[in-house]
This record gives sequence, C-alpha cells and structure tokens, in this order.
Amino acid sequence: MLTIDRISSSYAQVKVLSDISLKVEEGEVLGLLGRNGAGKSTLLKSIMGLVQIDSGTIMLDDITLSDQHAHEIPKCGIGYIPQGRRLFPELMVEENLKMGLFARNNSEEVLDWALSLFPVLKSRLKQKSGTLSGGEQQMLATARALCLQPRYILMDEPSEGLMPKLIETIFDIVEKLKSDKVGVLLVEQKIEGTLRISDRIVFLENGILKEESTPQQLSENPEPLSMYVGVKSHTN
Amino acid sequence: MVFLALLDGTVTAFVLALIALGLSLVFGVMRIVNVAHGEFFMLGAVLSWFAYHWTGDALWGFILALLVAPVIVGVIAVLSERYILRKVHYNPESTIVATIGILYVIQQLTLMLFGPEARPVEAPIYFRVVFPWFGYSGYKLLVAAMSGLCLCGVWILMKRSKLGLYMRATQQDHEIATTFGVPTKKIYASVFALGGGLAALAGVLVVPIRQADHLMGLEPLLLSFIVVIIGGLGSLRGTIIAAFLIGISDGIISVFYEPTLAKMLATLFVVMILIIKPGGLFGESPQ
Ligand SMILES: Nc1ncnc2c1ncn2[C@@H]1O[C@H](COP(=O)(O)OP(=O)(O)O)[C@@H](O)[C@H]1O
Ligand SMILES: [Mg+2]
Repeated sequence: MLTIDRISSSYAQVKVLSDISLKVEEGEVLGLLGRNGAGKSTLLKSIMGLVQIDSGTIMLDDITLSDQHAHEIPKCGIGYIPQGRRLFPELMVEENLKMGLFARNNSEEVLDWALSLFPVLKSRLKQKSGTLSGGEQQMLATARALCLQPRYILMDEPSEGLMPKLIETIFDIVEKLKSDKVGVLLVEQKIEGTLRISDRIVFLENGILKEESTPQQLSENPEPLSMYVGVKSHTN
Repeated sequence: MVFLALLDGTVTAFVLALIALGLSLVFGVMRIVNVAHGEFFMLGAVLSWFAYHWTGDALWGFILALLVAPVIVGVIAVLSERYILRKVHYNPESTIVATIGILYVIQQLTLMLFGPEARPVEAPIYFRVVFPWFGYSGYKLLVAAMSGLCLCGVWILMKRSKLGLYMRATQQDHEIATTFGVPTKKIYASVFALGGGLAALAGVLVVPIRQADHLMGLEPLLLSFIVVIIGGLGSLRGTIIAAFLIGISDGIISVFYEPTLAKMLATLFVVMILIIKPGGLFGESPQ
C-alpha cells in the first residue's frame, strides 16, 4: 500500500500542500481531481522526491519513501508519468525506454511487453523522441514508466492534449494495470473517463484535500464535481 | 608548405577537439562554464614533466603520465565538484566565479611547486616520417592518432554505455532523470572528472611539442571557448567539427600570415556565428 500521511510541501516559503493524507492500494485506481493550481502535480512530485516535503511521511508498505534520496524512489517500484510528458527529446525512443528498464535492472522482455501495449512505437525505436507526434509522445511516456514494471504508478494528466481515441487507449492501459495489481494514482481533467475507471475519487483545492468519494456516489450526487472541478455535470 | 600547414593544423585540431570536448560535456550536462578547464590541461603537462623526471626516461615517463595524470586531475575535478560547485548549487553565475577561483588556486600552487620557468619534456619516441618532399615529426602524428582514439572512446562511451545514456538524459532533463533512478549528483561528478581527464590527457600529449609552464592553460581555454561556441553549446558533434574548422584554419593562417591574425579571425568568426546563429552551428536553439 502507498500511504501518504499528513504531508505538507512548499515552494520557497509559499505553502502549496497542507496536511494531505491518502492511501492507494495495489490494484486500485485513485482519481485525483482539482482545478489548475490546486497542487495536484506538486503532490505527485512530492511523492517522487522532486519537491521536498516540510512534514509528514510517505510510505510504500514498510519502506519510508520520504527518507530516501529521490533517485532511490523509482527503484522501490514507483513509476511516474509527468505532466506534459517530459521525454528526453534528443534520445531515441529506444533509449527513453531503456531509462525505464535500467532503473530497476529489468530485462528486454519487459521492453517487449511495454511495446506490445503500444505497437506504434515498435517502428519508431531509432527515432528521436522529440520528433514524435503528441499522441506518440504520450504513449512513449507511458511505456517508459511501464518499463520500470512499477508496483504503483503516478500519472499526471496523461490525456492532456490527446485525441479521444488515444485517451481511450490510455484509459484502457490503466484498467489493464489495475488487473495486474498495479496501484494507480491518476490526476486527470477528463472527468467522465476518470469516473469510469477509478475506484475512488479525491478532490484537492488550494492544497487541501477536500473530499473523498466514489464514482457511484458522484453519479448520485455530482455536487463535489461542480464545486472542486467546476463542471455542471459529469457528462461534459 | 600548404601540406605542412594542413598537417600541423590537423594535429592542432585533434588536440583542440579533445580539450574542447571536455569543456563542452561539462557545459552541456552541468550547464556550467568551467573557466578552470585550461588549468586541467596545464596540470596534465606539468604532471607529465614530473613523471619524466621521476622515471628519468622519456618513454616510461610518457606512459606513466598518460595513465596517472588524467586520474590525478580527475580526482581534483571530483573534489572541486563535491566541495565547491555542489555547494553553490551549480548556479551559472556562482560557478563562473568559483571556477575562476579554482583556476587561480591551481595556477599558484603549480607556480610554487613547479616554478615559473618553462620546462621541456622529451618526446617518448623520435622518428621522422619522410614524405617525398619533406619530413614530418612522427610524434606529432602519434599525438593526432592518440587524440583521435580518445575522441572515439568518448563517443562510444556517450552513445553506447549506460553511463553515457545517463549523462545525456541528465543533460536533457535532470529532474526526470532522477525519477528514473539516475543519481544526478554522481553523474555531475563523473562528467566533471571526465572533462578534466580529457584536458589532462591533451596536456600530456602536447607537452613534448611545446614545453610545460604554469600559464599554458590560457590559450587552449580561449580556443576551446571559441570552438564550443561555434560548434553549439553542448553538442558533441558540433564541438568536434568546429575544432577541425578552427584548428586547420589556425594552422594555415599561422603559417602563411601570423598567429595573431589567426586568433583575430577566429574571434571574428565567433561574433558572426553568434549574430547569424546564436545557438552555434549544431546547437540547441536558445529558448
Ligand atoms: N516550481 C514552482 N515554483 C513555485 N511555485 C510553483 C511551482 N510549481 C507550481 N507552483 C505553484 O504551486 C501551486 C500548485 O501547482 P501545481 O501543483 O502545478 O497545480 P496543479 O497540478 O494542480 O495544476 C500553484 O499555485 C503554482 O503556481
Ligand atoms: Mg498539474
């Protein structure tokens, strides 16, 4: 279980997260919703050790992640798909994927498995990743993280800027990971899809965790959606 | 005469490429301008003199220096990285000041231990390659060949090894590299050591041609800057191509006109490049 216990984070004195606690179990998809600037990306960066936390602890089972150097965290089995993809643009597609493999000394079989999920990438292995289309880049960012064979994966707006068909592909992958017992912390803007694939939903506003709910509860009472994400109903 | 100038220029180009490659790697991956880079070159030459004197033999001294000087300089580089550059968080402005400091410390320590005079080091091998119409120093050809070998070595390291992949990934996005298990601080230390080691190696190779003295780091530093700017900051291929452009034209102009003119033209060329293509010939375009 990935346990975040009362963490606070700030950028140069400005507090961005206060007292956040949440849990993700293996095989569970936790949807994290909130407006722009709410602190969603900062939360994921705090878990990855990219943003120093001021207080609180982050645990993976009985390992205290928040005591580890940032570069040790992926080795514990945490995969990260950053907002805006952030590939290594001058590296070939293959080299980007190798970054994932090397992080946990995984074999080429893992690479083959990741490529089987995104067959388009197979014909692009020697291409610089910066020359891929937006959709291909998102697939690569996802495949790169999957090459770690993560036990938990943090996804920061993976559907941002993608065509509907590709969004479906990404969401299908999330469901597949779930069935493989991977825990997913999914930050999203696409409400409908998120409600469909998440087991639970939490809402973040101004760095504070406001409400926890389930897709069923939200379909009966969509009020939190309009309150914290600013949509009238979950159909848009 | 033209042929001789071309040959001399080519030898210069190989050595220059080796020195500039180190500077370029450090700038590319760490985003810092290492003003002390020329001192690493100088240390290579000076250590080579010590090796020559200690062994009392040109060949053994050369082999010893070739093996030991890059390691000693690499260690000095790692210590400077660990205790100085890391302390100022690799901040671009602070590191310029810090590396100027490193430059003076190395230079003054060398002055104390080595003295102010220029000291010759005998070449490890002595033969002339006889072309139909003139002879040429065999050692100079050896220098070019060994530099070429090192360039290939670095190229393979960067493009084929895991360490090289980590260096390039860190160069492009050090934050995301961390999220893939790359210990970026260690990578920075390795890059700084590699850059210093390459400069030291160049110093060892060059010293039998031009003597060792504590001020000899300045000229290669300036030429490397020129090369790195023309080649495009952080581009390995650009650096090597620019080194040949500058090295060979420097050789030719120096032989037919005079060295000062060559340097002036090179500087003018830099200015033109910066105006026409600010990122350098092969560089990333500036943000
Ligand atoms: N590197 C940074 N330095 C300073 N402030 C930042 C930085 N990154 C984000 N912030 C601020 O932190 C807050 C939360 O940002 P972020 O976590 O990116 O929100 P979200 O992902 O929910 O849109 C915002 O107010 C943003 O301006
Ligand atoms: Mg965000």
